[in-house]
Amino acid sequence: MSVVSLSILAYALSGVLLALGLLPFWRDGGSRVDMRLLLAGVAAAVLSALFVFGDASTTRLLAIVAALGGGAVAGGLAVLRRNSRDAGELVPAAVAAIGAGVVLLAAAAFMTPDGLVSVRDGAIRARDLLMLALSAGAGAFCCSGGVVVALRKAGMTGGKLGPKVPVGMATGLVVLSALLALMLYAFSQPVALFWFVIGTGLSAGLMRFLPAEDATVERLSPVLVSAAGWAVAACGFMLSVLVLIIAGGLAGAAGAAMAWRRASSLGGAGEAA
Amino acid sequence: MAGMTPQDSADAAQQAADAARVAAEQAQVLADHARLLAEQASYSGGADPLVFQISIFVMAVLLGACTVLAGRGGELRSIGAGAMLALAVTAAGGIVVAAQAGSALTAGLGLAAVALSGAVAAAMVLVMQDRASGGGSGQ
Repeated sequence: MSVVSLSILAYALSGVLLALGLLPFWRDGGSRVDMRLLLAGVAAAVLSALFVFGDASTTRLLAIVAALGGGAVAGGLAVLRRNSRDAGELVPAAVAAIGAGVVLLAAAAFMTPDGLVSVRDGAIRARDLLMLALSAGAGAFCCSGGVVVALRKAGMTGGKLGPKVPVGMATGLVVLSALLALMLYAFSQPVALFWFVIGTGLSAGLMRFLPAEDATVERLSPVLVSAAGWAVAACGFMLSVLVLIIAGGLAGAAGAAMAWRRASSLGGAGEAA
Repeated sequence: MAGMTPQDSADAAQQAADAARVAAEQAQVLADHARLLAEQASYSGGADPLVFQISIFVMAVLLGACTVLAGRGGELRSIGAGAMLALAVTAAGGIVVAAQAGSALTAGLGLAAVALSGAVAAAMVLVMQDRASGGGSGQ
């Protein structure tokens, strides 16, 4: 059996395990998820990704395993050192970490696109460039917004951190104009525009969550999960990695549905939308 | 075949044998090419890879939305944690970049993404384990 067939089988297995892990949530009316199956699914996805690139240099494979293990130890220690194990506090921090990871991947693909994204005549193709911009902007938004929300939930700051200004519409316009500017001018790939997109995403996250009231932050937390999902999905389209597309689509839609349910129950559907 | 010497006959036979061998080799090359095309078609489902990716994406979106909307209770943080754990597969993207990157700097960026994903996954595991044993405060 070829490597491609084995990797497809491994990815399919990881998808089945992830679906089975989520099944109790659906069956029991939203009371729990089966973490063991979810973990097995994630492990299968990561191992299959490692297996596909088994022809990479041994040094790099060892470095990948070391990075994974080092990150796991750091994350575990960070949680163990805190008395509170509230998932509500941890999710924004996790969103920030995932957003930072997506920005790093987008930066890597932008700097050396050969072998990572589609390149024609030395330039990144338009489709991958759009996905790169989306993942970088959304990842930066998740990074800054997640950090702000995590700090506020951890009690490291008191209340809102900035002046209360109607920033929602302004934020949307800034992000939209940034993406339009990138699409209009980025075919020559000036580095400044790439960093402009990342800066816009970072500032959008800060502008949205710094001045907000605590209740608004609580209501908009699922939006961060959703944004992280879309960022990961865009990254998956950019790198043509199916497992990222699936996980990003799942998390993005689940976060959006969570935001809609929470907004509906609190009577704030308009703001969340 | 008057006038042909035994040597001429042997040469003609040799040429015919060579021609047959070349034809067989060409047929083998064509068969290999056809098999390769068939494998590629079966691998991509016979469709544009982008169409395949978008189809999978749409199914994942529908599954995620339906899973949350089908839940009756107010326990949404469980699914949030589950979604974050699923996002921890960003490690897979980091592995792709780290393994295929053309420069050490790019590989380093991929490794950093892998490390971040590992941290998220480990933290989520600890929190969810704590919740499962009843020691956590978050619901």
